[in-house]
Order: sequence, then structure tokens, then C-alpha cells
Amino acid sequence: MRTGVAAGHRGFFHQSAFYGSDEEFLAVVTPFLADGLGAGEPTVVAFSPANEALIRAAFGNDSGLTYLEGEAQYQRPAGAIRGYREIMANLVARGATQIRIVGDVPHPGLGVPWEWWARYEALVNHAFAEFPLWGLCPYDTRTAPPEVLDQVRRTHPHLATPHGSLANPAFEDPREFLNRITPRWHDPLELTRPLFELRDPPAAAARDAVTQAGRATELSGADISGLVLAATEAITNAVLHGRPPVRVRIWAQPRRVVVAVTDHGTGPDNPFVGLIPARESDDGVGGLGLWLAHQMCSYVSLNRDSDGFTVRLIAETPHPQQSADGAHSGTG
Amino acid sequence: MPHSGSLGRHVCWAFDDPADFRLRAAQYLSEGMAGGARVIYIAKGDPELLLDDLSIVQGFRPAVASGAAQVMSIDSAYDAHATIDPAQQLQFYADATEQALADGHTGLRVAADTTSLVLTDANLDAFARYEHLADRYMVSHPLTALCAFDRDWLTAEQVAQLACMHPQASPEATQVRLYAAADAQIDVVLDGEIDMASHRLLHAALERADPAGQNSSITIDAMGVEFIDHEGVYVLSEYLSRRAATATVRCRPESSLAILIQLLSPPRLHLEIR
Repeated sequence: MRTGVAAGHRGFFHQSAFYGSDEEFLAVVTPFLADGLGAGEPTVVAFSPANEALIRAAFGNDSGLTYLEGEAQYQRPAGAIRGYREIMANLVARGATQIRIVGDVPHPGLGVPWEWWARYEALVNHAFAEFPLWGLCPYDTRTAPPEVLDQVRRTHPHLATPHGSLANPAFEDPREFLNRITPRWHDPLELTRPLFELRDPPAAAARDAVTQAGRATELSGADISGLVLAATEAITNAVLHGRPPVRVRIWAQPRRVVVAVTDHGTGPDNPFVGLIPARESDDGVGGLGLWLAHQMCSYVSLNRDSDGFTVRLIAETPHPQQSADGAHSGTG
Repeated sequence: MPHSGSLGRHVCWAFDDPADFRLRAAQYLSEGMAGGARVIYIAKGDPELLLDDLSIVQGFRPAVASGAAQVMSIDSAYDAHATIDPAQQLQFYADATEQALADGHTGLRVAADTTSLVLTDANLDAFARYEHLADRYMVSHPLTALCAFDRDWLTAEQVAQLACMHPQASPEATQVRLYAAADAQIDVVLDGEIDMASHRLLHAALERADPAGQNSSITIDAMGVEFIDHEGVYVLSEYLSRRAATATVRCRPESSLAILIQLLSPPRLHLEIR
């Protein structure tokens, strides 16, 4: 039995809210959480430290809310989808008839590139559709850039306001949204000369180049392994599903390595590619390799332009002071 | 593998120039003789003429005279006109190894150019299966072998299919190796780099070595896998699925294999980080 405005709704009730102050934040989020606890529904919070502190102050530590560490949960969209699906499958198996989740989705206002989170917000309408989930995504209008707020309006079918829930007239079909958006994102390092530029390389040669670039940085062995694996998967896709020639460019800074794999094809037809495993998407061609890349890299961008289709893979280690306060370096 | 230096128990050597093979064979058999093994040199041609191939090996002719060394034409060591029977061929070398021990040698070492035995798909398939059987025998018996193949007669893919069944191979002969382990707890060892250039090779090697043929729960030592992609993990998984088997996979932390098993949770592969 579902409660609140999601009563009678089947599947994922995906709602956004906009706030410009702590008071507005609490005015939207507090009733959402209190009603969930009152109805005995699993009620999950995944906020950044500042917003979590507001909620803990309002509810106390023994409220029955489940707290997830927001930065860990929202480190990568493919990981967030995988993590939430596991949590929800367990809760449904234990009899949950509605699950409430509220969380801070990262954006450039928090120092994180937005493109893959825009794709996430559109895709979760599909990826969470099988669960009795009421998900609330509040966005801070003081920090989120206009482009982010615009795309949030296009990816959430419902809006929470102080006056109640509204159907969102700006919502677009997720597939159409994903096919329409043209990411403009480039890494600033791409303005410099690449450390390596390889044309139609055997995957092993590209791996050697990525490893060599990574070893000269402060990246961990695990980050370099993940980037090498992601680069191989992207090259394999370009060779098997794209059009030649395949160009691999690699840039490196002390804390970051960027790998761009470009082929002259148009890229995968499936707009959900990368964020959910191929076997769960509608068109599995080349999808699992890109999903793995999205699991392992600090950031992945998929870009179509006159050059063809480019997969950008980034491995990054945060500055020590940034890891302490939770901010990421500004690649957005 | 370095171009020079000591070669191990079971080596595949792909050569472009027969002189290169003769040099490797001479080095390999010399080391065998120095260690007290009986040695056999096998190639195509008349054994009397083949003796000249090893003229650089000091004391080789007297060793032939005393029975410590032998030179055989390929036709007398193998049935060169038929597809070999792997078990029967292994028996030939097992008997020869036992005989060497009975005659007071420390074991048997063979250097053979067996190119003419693998020139059809069926012959190559049978020979690659035999290579793994022989490799299993070698980990627990004093038989060592240098198996040489002439690149003039074989494609790079064919050379790789043979080389990948050896624990050691000449440079660039194969990017994958599947072989037997001396450790009885390990059913098979997998080494090398597995990507789109070697998925078919891994598939063929698994079918031919068939480590899960007798045992539905096996252990694979994959500590030497330098790289594997997700399709490579599926090749392993699908092999196990065809055998209704599962595998414990020993691998290094932070290796691509460990990362992929953790992310994909393939039901038949269990991770053991070493």
C-alpha cells in the first residue's frame, strides 16, 4: 500500500524540488521523511554533510531514518544506480510496499561535471521503474547552474512544492531527452598537446600508453588499472561497433589522466548506454564495456560531433584538502 | 621472455630461419646433457644428415654413440601421415622417459621441429590437445621439451594456438598461455593479456586443455594475467558453463580480472585475491 501523493502510482514516482534556503529545504524534505516514517516505510537519506546535518538536527539520531553517505552513494551515476537497485531489491524482498529516498545529486555547483548526472536523472525513470519508489531530488538554486536546473525540470515528471506535488509540464520522455542533449563538455587538458596520440592502435599498445601516463602521476594502482580497463573496453567498442580510424589521445597531469577514444561512427543507438549494464538495457550492443567504464572512472563523457563519437575517460585523485571537505576538482 | 638464457620445462619456439631453431635446439639439448638427461633431436629428414644440425654441440656425436643422445626423423617419433592420438603420443614419450631413467639418466629432454604435424586444422587441434597432456606429464616427470614451429608454414594465429599451450614461448608467439601447474591444488595456470585479439585463442585453449573435464570445481592460478577485458571473463565463464563447473580464480588485487569479477559477479567464478 503506497502512501502520500504516490498512493496508487505504479513504479517510480520521481519528484524534484527547488529550494533557495535551509528553511525552504526543510519545508519540502521534512514532511516527505516524517510521513514515510509515520507510514512505516523504509525511508532513506543520502545527503552531503551540510544537508544531512540539517536533517539530523530536525529528526535526531534515533528517528528510524536510514542514512547513506551522500558522496559515496553519488560518486558515479552507474554506481548509484547499481547501489540503489540492490538496496531496493532487498527492501522489496522484505515486504516494502513503498520506499522513500531523498538525496543530493552532484552538479558543477558542487565541483562535479553534470553531463553524466543529467543522463542519470533521465535514465532512472527507466532504471527504477520496477520498484515502488518515491524518490525526491531537491536542488539548491543558490549553487546549481541554470543549465542544471533546466535539465532537472526536463527529467522529473513530478515537482514537490510548499503547496503540494504538481505534475511537471516540462518533463520530457527520457529517450527523447537523452537523444536530444548534446554534451558540450571537454576536459580543460584537451586544450594542451596530448602526451600520446595513437591511430588504430592495438589495444595492448594503448594500454601501455595509458599505464605509462598513469605511472607518472599520483593516481593509485587501482585507479590506473580501472582506467586501463576502461580504455580497452572503449577501444574494443570503437573497433567492433564504430567506424575507422580509431584515434586514442591521452593527457596527464599530476592528479589526473584523460583518455579520449574517437571513432568516425555515430555512437551507440541506445541512449541509456553506460549507465545500466547492457543485459538490462534495451539494446546491449557494446553496452557492457561502457557500463564498466562508468563504474571505474572518476568521470565518463559520451560526445557526438562532426569528428564522430568520442568516449572521454578520466581518472582523478582529489587534492588532499579537497578530499577533506568533499569537493572535487573543477573539471566541469 | 628473453631471447637468450635458459629455457624451461616446456617451451614453444616459433622460428623464421631454420638456423635459429638449430641454435635453440643445440642450446637446449646441451643444457640437458649437462644435467645428465638423455636428449633427443627430432626434425624432418634423414637422421644422419640431421646430426650435422647439432655439430656445434660439444660431444654430441660421442653421446649419440653411447646412447645418451638420439637423432630421430619426425616420421619415426610420430605418425606423420595421420592425425596424432594425444594419449598415444604421450605414452611414447612417457615410455622413453622411463627408459632414460632405467638407463641411468636423470630424465629425457627433447627438441623437435613438429611443423609438419600441424598443417591441417584437425592435426593442429589434436596436436594442441596433446601439448597440454604432455605439459601435465612434465610437471611431475623428468621430461622437458622444446617444441619448434616454422612460421613459413603457419599463420600467426596457428602459431599462437600452439604456443598458448606452453608455459613459455618465443617472443610475440602468443599473448595468452594456459598450462599445467606443479602445485597439485592448481588445475591450470592462465597467463598473459586477454583482449579482443586473443578471445578466440583463450576459447580454443580452454577447450583443448579442458581443465574442468574431470572436475566440476577447479582452481585457476591467474596471478600472471596481466590484463583481461570483460569479454575474456565471459569466455572463461562460458567454458565453465559448458562443463557445468565452477572455478576459484587466484589473482592479484587491483588486477583487471579482480576488478571485473567484483563488478560482474559471474556466478561460476569465485575470486581469491593473493
